[in-house]
Order: sequence, then C-alpha cells, then structure tokens
Amino acid sequence: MLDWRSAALRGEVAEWRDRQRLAAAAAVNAIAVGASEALERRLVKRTRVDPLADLLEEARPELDALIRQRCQEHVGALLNAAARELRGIDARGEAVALQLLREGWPPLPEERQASAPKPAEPLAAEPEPVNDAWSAARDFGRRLASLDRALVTEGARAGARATAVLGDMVRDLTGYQDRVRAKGRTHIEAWLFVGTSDRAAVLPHLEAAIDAAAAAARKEIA
Amino acid sequence: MIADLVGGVLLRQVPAALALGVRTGDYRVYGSIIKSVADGRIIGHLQEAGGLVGLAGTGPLAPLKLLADGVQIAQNEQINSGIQHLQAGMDALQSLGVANLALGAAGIGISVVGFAILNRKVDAVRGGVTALGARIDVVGTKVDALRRDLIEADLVRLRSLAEAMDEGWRLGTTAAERQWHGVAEDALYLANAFEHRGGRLLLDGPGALAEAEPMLDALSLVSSLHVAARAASGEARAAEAAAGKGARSIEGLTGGLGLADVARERVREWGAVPGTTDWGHALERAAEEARPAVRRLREREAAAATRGEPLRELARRGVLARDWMEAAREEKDAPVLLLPATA
Repeated sequence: MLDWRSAALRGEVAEWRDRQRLAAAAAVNAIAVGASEALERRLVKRTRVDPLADLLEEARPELDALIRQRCQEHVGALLNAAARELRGIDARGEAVALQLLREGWPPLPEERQASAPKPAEPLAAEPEPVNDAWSAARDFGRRLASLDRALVTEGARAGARATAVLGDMVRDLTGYQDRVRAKGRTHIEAWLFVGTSDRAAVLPHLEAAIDAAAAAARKEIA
Repeated sequence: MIADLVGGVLLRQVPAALALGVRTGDYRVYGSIIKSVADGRIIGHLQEAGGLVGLAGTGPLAPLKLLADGVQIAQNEQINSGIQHLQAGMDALQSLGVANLALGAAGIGISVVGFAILNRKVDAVRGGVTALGARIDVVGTKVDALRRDLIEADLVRLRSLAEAMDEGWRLGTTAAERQWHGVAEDALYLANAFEHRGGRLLLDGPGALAEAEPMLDALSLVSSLHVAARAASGEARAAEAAAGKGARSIEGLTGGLGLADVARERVREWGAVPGTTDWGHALERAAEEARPAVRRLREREAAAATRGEPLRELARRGVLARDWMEAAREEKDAPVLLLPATA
C-alpha cells in the first residue's frame, strides 16, 4: 500500500524543484543582462577603431568581476533559500540540503591577480568629452582635405576620397562594435549558460544541483 | 445534513465550517483527503457521490482540457438548465477547490458515479487524442507511432468497462461480483497499456506533455475503475493493492516532471536567446502557460495516492466497501460527501 503522506511530500519536493529552478534561471538571466549592459556602456564610449586594442580583452576583467560578484550574491541567496525550504518540507531533507549547499556552487570566473597582463581600462579613463563616431571620422576627413587644399585642381577628387574614407571609418567602427558585442555575448553565455569543454556554466550547474537534490529528497522520502 | 449512515459510519455532506477552513488555510485538500495544516491529522475523506452526475449530465462534458475553469462550467450549466441546485453543487466543489478533480478523469475517492458521467469522461479523453492528432503533423506522427487505431480500440474497451461497472450495481450479488471481477481484470490490462503509451510519449521530453496528457487521463480513469471494481466485489485488499499500483504508475510517469521542465522546453522552442530580457519574459510567460497542465499532473498524482485511503478507514470500522459505495451513489444532491476520519 502506498503511503499517501510520503506521496504528498514528494509532490511538495517537485514543487520545490520548480520554484528553485525558475528562480535560478531568472537570476542568472538577470546577471547576463547586466553584464551585457556593462559591455555596451563601455562600447558606446569607444569612438575609434584601434587595430592594436581589443576592447573585449580590456573589458573582460570587468565583466568577469561583475559576473563573479553578482553570482556570489545571488547564487548564495538562492542556495540558502532552497536549503531552508527543503528542510521545511521534511526533516529527512536535511542531509540533502547540506549537500546542496556544499555542491551547488558553480565554477565562477577567477579574480585577476595584480600581475595580470593587461588590467581593465577604468571607465573614467575613457576620453572625455566623448566624441561620437561621426565627429572622429569628420576630423580625419578634414585633415585629409587640408592636405589637398593647395592642389586646387585635385580638390574635387580629394573631397570624394575624403568622403569615402569617412564612410569606411564609420563602417569599420560599426562592424567593430558588432564584433565586440558578439564576442562579449559568447563570453557571457559561456560563463552563465553554455559552459566549455572543461567547465559547466552557472545555470546548468545550478539546475543539475537542484535536480540532484530533488531526486535525492524524493528517494529519502519514498 | 446527514446523507446516510452506513454500518454506523457517518457519510455526510461537507460541513460549511470545513470548507471555510480550507479557504482560510487551516485545512488543506490533498487528493481526496482533507488534512489539518497545523498537525497533519486527517480530518476526513472526500468521496464523489451521485449528485456529481447532475453537474455534467445536462450538457456535453467538455474535453478535460477545457475543464480548467469550473466556475465557467457552473455558470453555463446554470444558464442552460436553470437548475439552481447545480450551482449549489458546483459551489460545494469550488469551496473545496476540487471541481476540476471531481469532473476530470481522476475523480475523487472511489469511482461510484454511473455510466453517464464515466462515458463523458471517456469521450473527453478520446477528444484529447483526436485533437492532438489534428494539431500538427509532428504530434500526429507521434500519436500515430503508437497506433491510433489501437488507442481507439482501447478507449472503446474502457467505455465498455465503465458500462459493465455501472451495470453491476443492477445485478444480484453473485452476478455483480462476477461482472466486477471481469472489469478489474480488463482494467489491469488497459492500465498497463495506457501507462506504456504515456511513458513512450514522455520519452520525448517535457515538450511531449500535451500529447501524453490524454494517456495519463486514460490511465487515471482506468485505475480508478480497477479500484472500484475490486472494492465493490468485496476484495478490499486487492482494491488497496490496485490503488497503490495506480498511484505508483502515475507518479512514476510524471513525478519527476515539473513546471521548470515544461517552461524551459517551451522557451527553447520559441527560440528566445538566453541572456536577454526577452528570454526572461519568455520564461515567465511559458511558466504561466504551463502552470495548469502541471497542476493537473500533481492533482492526478494526489488523487491516485489517496484513492485507497477510505478503504482503510472502512476496514477499521468494519464497513463493507460495497455498502459505502452504494450509499454514495444514491446521494442525489451533493456531488461530494465526507467520511470523517476516526478520531
């Protein structure tokens, strides 16, 4: 004969699992959105394409620090709340709750050491006042135009050349921003959603830990 | 109001104070059991009764998926029939939060209502299968892989079992017991068949829940008939075992499946990109959309897990299950009755 009380508790564990997994997904997604916005803020301040600079590389420590800090805050709160709720369902969930607290922590970006090769450029150090892409390209065009000013017969041709260069620069900058955005998104997704060959991402790790705890709790209660 | 006294056991309409306690949160309904939230004590066992037939008997019973809003049904019934007591009956179910359960395939307690309502429940399951097949090609293919013709044939058998179960109440004791034995044996086979199909469909993951639901409803319904047939024929221990088997089958299929699984799968199907506000909104929307289906999962499990409990209570009191079931069938007004638990 099936014990209905145990069945009811297993049903509560199933609902607990739903709550924890949805909360984890929402929290991790919010962290990802925050990291993307931080990258975007840095990106819009960049007005020139510098082939020697890698903006994502510069921003990476800042992004990683943000991911690490927000995960430490939110994952800690999530795991503590989850463990507390699980204990509340049934005392037999105690060992499982402890295991969840122990093993639920996902791998996070490591803190950069002082000897890091290229520290993040502080946002405050960005050129001020910020010139937009058009003004930067326009300045360059003006310089080109001034070189040709003495050559009156070449004037019209030089102007056309300057316009073409300006267009190229804007296109370069836009393309550069898109490339950085895409690389940034991949970096954030790798940490939070996708993982790498040697490291689980934050959300799948949390979901697996919650699933394992739910399965163990259901087994304990059987 | 006392509905009946069976072998000294009070079978009564659910007292208003108890329904109020459910609304205020002092009591909680789990399947067919009302328990005290404070100490977990069983207050009583809910049992579907003959009055339930009136709630579904005056119009076509909508497919089970459309039963999500019991209030709507009550309103429609009231408008269509003008029968005031239907509203009272639905109010009784609503006040306990068991309207969907009572009118759905799982039912409340041991199945005692007549063929009319069982037939409509089978129709609703059949409607669910047909609707799925027509929905999209992929779903049709999945259902077709399980041989739609065989599913149809098994639903016809299920309908026949419901009819045979009902007919048994009009036979003499010996003939009735023979009839119910046959129902129980066939129900066992059909339960295994529907469990197998539900499991096959759910192998495709949480996205297949909609396709599996008619099979889960069919399993609930036939398991409920199995228990009723054993109980009515005086085989209390076999009835308890059947209840346990049914509960394990249903929980085995869906116990590990939840809102998070279904919602995540749906967001993936929608193509939302993780790490964006759109994804967050999509997850919220998917969770809200999936909530009724997941609630039905938990309700089926709860109904199955508690189905055998009144049998224990009756055994403790030395009451024959058949007498108890017959008294519940004869109740014409209340859709659900209460067997107070032994103090």
